[in-house]
Amino acid sequence: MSLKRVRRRRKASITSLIDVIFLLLLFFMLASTFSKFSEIDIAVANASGIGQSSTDVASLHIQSERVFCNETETPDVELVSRLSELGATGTSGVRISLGDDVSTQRLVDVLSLVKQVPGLTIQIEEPS
Amino acid sequence: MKRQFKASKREPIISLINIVFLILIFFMVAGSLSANRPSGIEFVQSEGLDCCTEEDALDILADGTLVRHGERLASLEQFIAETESLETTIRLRPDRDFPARDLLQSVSTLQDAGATHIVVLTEQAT
Repeated sequence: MSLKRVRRRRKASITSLIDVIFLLLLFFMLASTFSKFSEIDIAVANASGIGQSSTDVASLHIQSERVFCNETETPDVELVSRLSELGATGTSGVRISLGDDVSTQRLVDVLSLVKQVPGLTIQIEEPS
Repeated sequence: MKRQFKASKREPIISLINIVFLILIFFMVAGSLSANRPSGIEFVQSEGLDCCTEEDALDILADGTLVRHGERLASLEQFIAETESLETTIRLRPDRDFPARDLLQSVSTLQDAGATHIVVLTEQAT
């Protein structure tokens, strides 16, 4: 008497395999993100520095639509070249002040423009 | 007329699985799992800044609500109290419509508490 049991192997169902793969795919499609983050330094100048008006620091006043560079209205696209000119003539820093209704997006936009000019130190005035 | 019954072919389904596997691997490799991003925040968009940085940040919603690791914080003072060391880089991730004046006030408060290096996280615009 043979004790060996003859087992017939059933073919694995391909449908359940596809089900599981689709589940995995759905999970990764919904859970994954592709956004990458950058960082930009931000530091507020303390009150003692405010009021010093030295010639080698340019002033930059940001409003929601406009930027005033040394009291002159400057379009955003010309800001980098204007600051480069100032940097070539001895300006070593920029002091940034904010108008009303300026969003964080606007501030970061202008800050990233100013950062394109090498060699400028950036100071941001504390809002009153 | 007699319709001829064809035996079902296996090849199309195998190529389907191949493609689904490819998509699966793409999402696994290219995407990263989003970790605790609060809902209702629109990140600041930026271009041309150095990529990429850690995402562990203090989120600031447009109405000024502070969120850290998915939990709301009552005030900036609570954040300062819970932060072990202010000497390390402090990451803020504000909403794009958060008033910049309020952001600077928060930065100033953090600096007064002893924070030395504060950065703002921005999302890379594609």
